[in-house]
Amino acid sequence: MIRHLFTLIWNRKRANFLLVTEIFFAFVVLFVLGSLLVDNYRKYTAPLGYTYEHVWQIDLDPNGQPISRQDATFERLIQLLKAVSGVRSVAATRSNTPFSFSDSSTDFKAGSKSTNSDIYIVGDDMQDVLSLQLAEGRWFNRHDEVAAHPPLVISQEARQALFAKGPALGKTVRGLDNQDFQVVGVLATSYRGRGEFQELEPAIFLRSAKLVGSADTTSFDQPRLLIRVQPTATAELEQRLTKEIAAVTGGWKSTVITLPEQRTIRMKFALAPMGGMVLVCGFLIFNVALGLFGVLWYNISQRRAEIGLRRAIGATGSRISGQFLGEILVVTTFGLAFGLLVAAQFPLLGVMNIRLPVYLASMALATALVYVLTAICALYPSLLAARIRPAVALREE
Amino acid sequence: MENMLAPAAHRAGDTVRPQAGPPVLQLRNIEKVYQTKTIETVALHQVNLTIGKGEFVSIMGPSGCGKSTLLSIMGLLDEPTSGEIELDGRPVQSYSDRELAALRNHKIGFVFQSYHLINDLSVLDNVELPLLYRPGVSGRERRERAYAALEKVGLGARTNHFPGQLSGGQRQRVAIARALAGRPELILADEPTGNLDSVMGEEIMDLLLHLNRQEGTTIVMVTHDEQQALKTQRLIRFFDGSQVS
Amino acid sequence: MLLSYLKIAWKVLLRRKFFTFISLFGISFTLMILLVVYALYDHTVGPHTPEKKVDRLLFINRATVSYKNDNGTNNGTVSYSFLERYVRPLRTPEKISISTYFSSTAAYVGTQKLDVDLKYTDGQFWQVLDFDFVEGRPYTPSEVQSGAHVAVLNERTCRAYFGTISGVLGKTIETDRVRYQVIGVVKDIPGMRFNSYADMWAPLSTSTLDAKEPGYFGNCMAIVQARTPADIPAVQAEFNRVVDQVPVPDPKKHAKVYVYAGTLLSSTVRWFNNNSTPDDGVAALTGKVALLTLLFMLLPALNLINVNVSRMLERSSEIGVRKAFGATSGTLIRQFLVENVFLTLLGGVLGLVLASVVLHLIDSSGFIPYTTLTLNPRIFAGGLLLSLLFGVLSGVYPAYKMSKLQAVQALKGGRN
Repeated sequence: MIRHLFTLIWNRKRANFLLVTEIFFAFVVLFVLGSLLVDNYRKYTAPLGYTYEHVWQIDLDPNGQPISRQDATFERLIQLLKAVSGVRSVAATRSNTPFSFSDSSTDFKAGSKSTNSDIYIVGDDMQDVLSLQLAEGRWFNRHDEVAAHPPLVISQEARQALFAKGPALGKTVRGLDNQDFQVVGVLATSYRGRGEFQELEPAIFLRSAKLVGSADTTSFDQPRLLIRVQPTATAELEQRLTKEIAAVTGGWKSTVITLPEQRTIRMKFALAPMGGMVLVCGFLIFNVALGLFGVLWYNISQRRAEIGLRRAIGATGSRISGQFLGEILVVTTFGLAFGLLVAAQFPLLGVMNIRLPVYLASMALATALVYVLTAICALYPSLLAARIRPAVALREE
Repeated sequence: MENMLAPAAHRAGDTVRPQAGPPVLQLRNIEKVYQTKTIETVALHQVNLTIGKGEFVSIMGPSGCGKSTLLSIMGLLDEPTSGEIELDGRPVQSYSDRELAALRNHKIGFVFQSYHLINDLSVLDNVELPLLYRPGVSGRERRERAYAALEKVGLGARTNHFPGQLSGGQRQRVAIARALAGRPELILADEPTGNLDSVMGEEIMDLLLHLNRQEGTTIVMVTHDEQQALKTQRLIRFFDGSQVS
Repeated sequence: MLLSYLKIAWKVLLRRKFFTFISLFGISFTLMILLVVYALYDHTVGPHTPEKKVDRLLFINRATVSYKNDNGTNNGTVSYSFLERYVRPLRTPEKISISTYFSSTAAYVGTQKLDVDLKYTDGQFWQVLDFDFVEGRPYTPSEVQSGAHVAVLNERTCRAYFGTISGVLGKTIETDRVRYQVIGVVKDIPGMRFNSYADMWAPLSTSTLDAKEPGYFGNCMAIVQARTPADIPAVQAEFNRVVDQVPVPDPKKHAKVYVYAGTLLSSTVRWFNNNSTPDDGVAALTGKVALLTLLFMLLPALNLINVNVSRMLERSSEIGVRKAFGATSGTLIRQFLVENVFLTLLGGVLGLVLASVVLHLIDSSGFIPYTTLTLNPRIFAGGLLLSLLFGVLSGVYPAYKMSKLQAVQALKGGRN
């Protein structure tokens, strides 16, 4: 019977060509969308590397204070904030705070291996502020000020890229103006400062020696802080902090924003395009389903005589609906075969920069979806076909 | 193919009519009423009919007299409003849709005025069709039996053609081969020559007569053609849903 | 002839309602999506308040300093001093305005904190751009010169701070502990217009910006107005000559400084691409968008073709009659195309209605701050153009197929 269906479809290939094309495109759309969604889901479920609850970000504006005096002011400010009740820990950071739209990366080299890594220049207390977990070694501290090579803490991805399976602690890494650094710690996981939808990429932490950017006029960086507050902290603390900051720094302006708030904004930016795409693709697929349904329905009415004949020579009603369902599934198989051929090019040519398992998963997903979709579209017309009364159908014409 | 069906051998009245065998199909008190919202139409009224094995029966009557309805009922495609049908000595009233389909497949072959071939299938695939719906028939056996049937109708050389490439007469031969492929007890032919010119019609008629006489195939044929009807063993005339002779 | 075609088209539509529904659904939703995207585009870079003279404006906002030996680049927004030094003296433009980007400040209404995005501008800002003033007036260049603490508010901030938008002129607003006198209230500016957007505008002279500070990077931008749209290339040429002469900050490390004056579209694309090459990337983006649009339309078009072919086969006897009475393939193709375009235009009108509903939904959802997405004649024209394209795209193949149908076969109602 399967062979019979293939013969029938093959002999009707001209008439089925449009259906095959449509199914092909529907598959490709679903595959591309599926790849993106599956990939984003994979990223979303991967560890972030830090906690953001009860962490506040304070953007500071020296308000015209000369750069030469900013460092001392900033140091004084950090000491003061640590003493404020309700604040647990305070650390300086550059503008690439978690969930911010700012990032900075540079090349690092260790022996023959090198990698481009996100770089985070942060204060000594950052481990506590972001609850960073270490797998090996230690976080940096005050004593590193006099170290021969400035200390680095690297993420698992950076460890993998620079040392593979070999030892990492104590090794020297070269980067940033050919300066040598020494690895003192390795994070337990990855660190993804750009949020849940960032790829798992190397991240390296550098101890901020000077708290504010150097006098290099080409770099534009305002002092910034991350603080961990007690879970009981409220907006009252926020207002108190703003006032205290202005008082101790002699007029620096400050803006407080919580990391959960930042995360919401980042999420919105990541999810809005995804949501839009899902809606658009959903519409496309629904459109295809409607068209498929219409064409199949029409085909059934065109083939009433054939159905009558098949009934006359001994096909039961369920055989008839089975045949029509089978036919559309064969057509679908043709469309999918072309689609899979195209989909296979994606990992081969590296079109979307997504890993192979993700592609395979979305291929399977899209294939299943297209089969289900076409089966649903064919179900009602097939039932109609089964209900055609042979005596009537044969007498028409 | 022509030499196979030497026309001289089949002139009407030439041969001795074979004795009608045991009944293949029996209709008793068949009544068929079409019910619409407002009108009740009686299509068949008190039809009693027995078709014996090996018989060639023709049914005649004006358009709308119910002969097509009768053929549908005989072919188990339509259910009578009341009355009994016995096929091969077994009553079929209580049969399910599935059992009826199996009965049609095994016992009955159909030939239609408009052939009803599937245009997208080759001649051979068309002829194989009834065997496709019969469980337990292997692909090879289907092929062989379809071939044999096509040989019988003189189209052994056209198996890979498509219906669109054949003449009307050839198409009807394919349809007859299809009816034969399942080796049915009974062939029901609904105006098999109605769409053909007289020469081709003659050919088809000769083929049917040949099958009846040489192979012993039981045939019931609805026709408009008095000449053809007279060539068969028995002629039943219908008028307004009732048998008149 | 056309009228009779349309009559038949209408009859055909009514005959198979389900097919008509499928066709219209596909067309209208496709157009709706394209129109919404176009409306977002138009909303971002089209001529809207306050950038009404968008064809005469150039935007200078980003600088790139490249390192020697391809050792990377530094990108950022330009500083106030850079603009004062290199943009202010330009001679070809009609007007030049320098302003900061908005930054968040805190005002307090009682104990409640109110976030106010504050943007410092010069007096020319109000001449180059066309704001809709609800009340009052903008501040003048001389007020900016004298360092007057005056400010223009948008409606939202005005209402949030004063509780009303009328009679606030002359009142004082305090944000980040600086007091300003309100002299004007304007309609809210959408956040996507980030060159002009703010909650509150105040004179540059009230900020701490230093025109003598040496750095190239800062938080500022310039809007340059040319005399005529045709003058734009001349302005760009002059500016490029100036930038070529800009010395690098550190001759040992740096190779070159890049700054461009681009149109609103060009500078927006540059901004999103973080682009610092002479090519602004608009052409590449246009190409990509066109390709994506075509791909996006392909599936609904295929669907429509499929439905159309079925529809056409159903009418094979009509086609047979027409052929028998002497219709040529050409006339039949024309007839079917007219019918299809009629159908797609109908879908286009539906699509416009749907699009206006969706735009309204986006507006009222507050997902994008202060947006007022509306359909305008440009979008309307775009929609009609797109439906025409769609109608032809999906009508040609079925029409061709229909015209090839043999008269005899067609009369018999045969297939294939």
